Amino acid sequence: MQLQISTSDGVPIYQQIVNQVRYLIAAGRLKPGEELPPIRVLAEQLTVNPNTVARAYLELERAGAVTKRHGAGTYVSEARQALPQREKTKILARRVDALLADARHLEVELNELIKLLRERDAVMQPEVKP
Amino acid sequence: MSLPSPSSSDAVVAVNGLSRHFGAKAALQEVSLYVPRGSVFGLMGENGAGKTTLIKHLLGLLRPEKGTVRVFGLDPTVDTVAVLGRLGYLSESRDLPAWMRINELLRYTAGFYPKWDHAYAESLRHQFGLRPSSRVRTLSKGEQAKLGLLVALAYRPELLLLDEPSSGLDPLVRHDILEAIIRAVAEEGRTVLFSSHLLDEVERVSDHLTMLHQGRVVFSGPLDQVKQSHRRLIIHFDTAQVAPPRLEGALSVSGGGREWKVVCAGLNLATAVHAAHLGGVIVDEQSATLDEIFVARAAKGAVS
Amino acid sequence: MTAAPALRSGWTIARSMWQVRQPAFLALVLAPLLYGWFLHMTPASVLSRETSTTLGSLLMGLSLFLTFVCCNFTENDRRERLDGFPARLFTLPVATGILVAAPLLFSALAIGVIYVAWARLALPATGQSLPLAWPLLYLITGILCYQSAVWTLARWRAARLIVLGTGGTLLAVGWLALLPEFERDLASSLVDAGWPLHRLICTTLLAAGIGAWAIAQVVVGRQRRGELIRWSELLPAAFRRHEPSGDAHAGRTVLERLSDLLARRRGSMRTPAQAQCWFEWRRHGSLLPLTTGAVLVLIMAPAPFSAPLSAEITGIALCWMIALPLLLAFVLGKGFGKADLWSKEPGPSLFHATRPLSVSERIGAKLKAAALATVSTWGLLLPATALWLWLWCDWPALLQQWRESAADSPNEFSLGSAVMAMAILILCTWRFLIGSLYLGMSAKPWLMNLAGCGVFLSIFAPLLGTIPQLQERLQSFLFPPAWFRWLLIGLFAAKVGAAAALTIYARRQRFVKTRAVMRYIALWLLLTTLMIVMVRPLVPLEFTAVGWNKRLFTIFALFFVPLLRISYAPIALGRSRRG
Repeated sequence: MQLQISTSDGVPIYQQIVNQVRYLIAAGRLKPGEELPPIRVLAEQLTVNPNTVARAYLELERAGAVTKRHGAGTYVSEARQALPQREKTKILARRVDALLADARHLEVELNELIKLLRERDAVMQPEVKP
Repeated sequence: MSLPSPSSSDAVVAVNGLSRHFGAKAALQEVSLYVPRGSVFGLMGENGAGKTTLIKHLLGLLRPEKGTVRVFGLDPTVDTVAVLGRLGYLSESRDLPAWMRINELLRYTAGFYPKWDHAYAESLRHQFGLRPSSRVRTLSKGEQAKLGLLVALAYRPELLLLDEPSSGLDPLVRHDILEAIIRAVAEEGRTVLFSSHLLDEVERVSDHLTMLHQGRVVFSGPLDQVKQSHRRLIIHFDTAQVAPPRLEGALSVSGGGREWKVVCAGLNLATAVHAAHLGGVIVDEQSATLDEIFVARAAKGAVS
Repeated sequence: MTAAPALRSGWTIARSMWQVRQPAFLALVLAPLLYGWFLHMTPASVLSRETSTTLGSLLMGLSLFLTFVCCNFTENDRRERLDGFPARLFTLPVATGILVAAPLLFSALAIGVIYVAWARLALPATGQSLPLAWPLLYLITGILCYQSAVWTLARWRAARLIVLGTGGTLLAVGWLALLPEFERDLASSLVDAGWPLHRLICTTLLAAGIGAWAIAQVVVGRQRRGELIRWSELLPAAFRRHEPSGDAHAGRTVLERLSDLLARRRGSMRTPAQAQCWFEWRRHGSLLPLTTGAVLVLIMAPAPFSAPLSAEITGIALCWMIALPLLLAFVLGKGFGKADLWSKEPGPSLFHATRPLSVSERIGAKLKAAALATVSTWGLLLPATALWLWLWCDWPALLQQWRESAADSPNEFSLGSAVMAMAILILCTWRFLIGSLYLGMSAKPWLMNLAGCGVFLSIFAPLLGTIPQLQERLQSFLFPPAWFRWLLIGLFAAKVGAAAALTIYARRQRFVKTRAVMRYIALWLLLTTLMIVMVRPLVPLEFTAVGWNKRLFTIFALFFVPLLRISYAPIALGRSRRG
């Protein structure tokens, strides 16, 4: 499981871990039932405080993305829990803002942008499993 | 802003009102901090802010002029042996005896600590890639730092004091050292206090954060509290400002023309009102990065 | 490179040398003038000719020695940890020849000027007329060799110390070989055989001077180009360090294996006291037997070639060999209290200061290491001396002399008294080593420098005995008054009182534990009793005739084992650690 932690993001580290794990689950790179690395191992790998990793795992568990089996580790939840709509929009809103800013800067019309989105979605289709 | 002081059984290190002068210069002024057990305590500050002086007080190498210092509830200048036997220390200049061989050094140091774990020391040595027969003076800077850390970790001390553990080291070695520290932290009950300039590391690894500036504590508290309470605002003014606008509650103001970046410690409501007065509007607001906090605090030197 | 800029650069370097030690050089140049003026002013009745001659020679010797010290043109390179030719000059656009020539010429000029000042301005007032030619050659060669040695051996501090020490000693006494009296008295056989001794020596000196310059030129040139000479290039392959091929077996040279055997502890060190004792022995204690062994080899080396040695020479050599550990312990003892003798810093490094070791344990480790050093030194000296006596000396003649003396005064020349005398010397060695612990522990450089000056002066002090006025005063000491005994007892009581006060202060400051104090008091009582028991029978009868009776010696024995200085040591160490 490869995660990228950046301290200049403005986002707290535990939140970055949460977001990235969720993205990995959504993109299918983490299968349901797959075990997440233990807190110590992930902390060493990312060189962050183990408490931060513990907090991230707690958040993920609370959100239902992972389940903690007593004494046996943390596993990705079987059923993919739906994120609340508000969360989803919040995560995507930042990306969209950046995209729109770029488009505006490059003087690309909104219609052209939507057409581009559709094209790229079509290309990506086979990757995301139903 | 500072932590409400925990009870003495919680705090591994309790410094209260510590002051120290060197001649006319005030190295530390009324410094108080409490390091809770099991936490990673980061100490920030520019060169000469008093970090090393503070650490020397904890080791019993300096006597406080005013105030008290307690480590494990003991006074380090009085019960020196008891305190030093339970903590591990890595100095900024490493200071290992250059003429010794690594195996001699390990055997020599092992004699001082009854809890020295030979197997653990051996595994660490293997991991750091240090040959037992090489002399300390032939080691590179990074290898010396790793050796110093090995010597401090091998007897599993309750408290680790690290004075700039990564200073002057290349990224590979820095990663190794951080990894070793985190592994040590993950074990039960170990406390780490380290001072560093590398704010990236401080942010990743610390639970609590204290900043010293000119011998005073600027802020002290849990890391996310510190980050949350410092906001970075981008203010857009109608008219170009010739001089940096002085805003209430702002720690630092930088920028030019119509867009200015302001770092403030909370109170952004008052800042917003004042900005509106001057004809500006807040276009972006985020929690400031540690880098921005450091520069803002060190430049201004405000005591909160 | 044209001449003018080269000269200018050389002149700048020389001027910088002058400016660095300006006050010292000025003092050295003015000293002979002042002395000459002083002699001129004092009437002849106050200062006899002999005294002024001795004093003048002494002062001249001292100022020449100081000139050598001041002309030390080196700089400390922190990164490389060596004291060598100033590396910052290497980046100047100046040829190496000029860089080397400027300091050498300056030093030669300095020593020349100072010698001429003494020989022509100061000493003639007492009627001494010193030649100019060969002393100048001698001194200039000496200073050239000195500078060259300092620069060449910058990387090997131990070797440099030995070379400078041996060279310095040779320099201090070698000039005797150039005196006409030497040729007349001692080397008459060679002169008769037709050897022009004086000319030979002068030619050798000239060659040595030129050789030293050449070596300096080559070595400094190599240092400038970064071609450092490594030990391994000079040694044959068997002694070279092999680069380890894998992690498993690290290659070691033969020498490294030997040194490992010497100071190796196979087992782990179980207690802090044990660990620190090992450290002290390794770093400080082992110096005494090693240096004693080295000098012993030097003394014994000529023996196989001129065996058997006559009883006279054997006697003198024996005296020097027995005195050797005492002298070395005296000098070494001044620095024995330092946290690390070999480092330049006066106080302990952060690594040592943060080991969980109490003050009494640190002092205890030093006492034990000193005892180990003493035992090993004498354990080396006595068998070596016995072997040397048996193989190459005329020991039957010596034995005959001993028997004759024993027949006269059986008490003083018995086996028992010899054993006791040996025991006293061994105790003396240990005492010299630990007597000045507080100096090194205080970590105050000015205090240690003061002690160094004291050592230096005490070496020259016996020369004061040649002054006739003092000789008369010294005679009176042979007949001490009756109250002298009580004065000594009073001093002893004061010493005990002061030691007790210091110990109580140290206890209150938590520097020492009561148990450590008790242990040292027991040791002190044991050793002092031993001294008193041994001293009494050894006092020769002649001394009692002049008033130095056994009682006085007994009281002196009370002062032997250090009490006051040892009770100050924990305070010095504790305060230096606490900052």
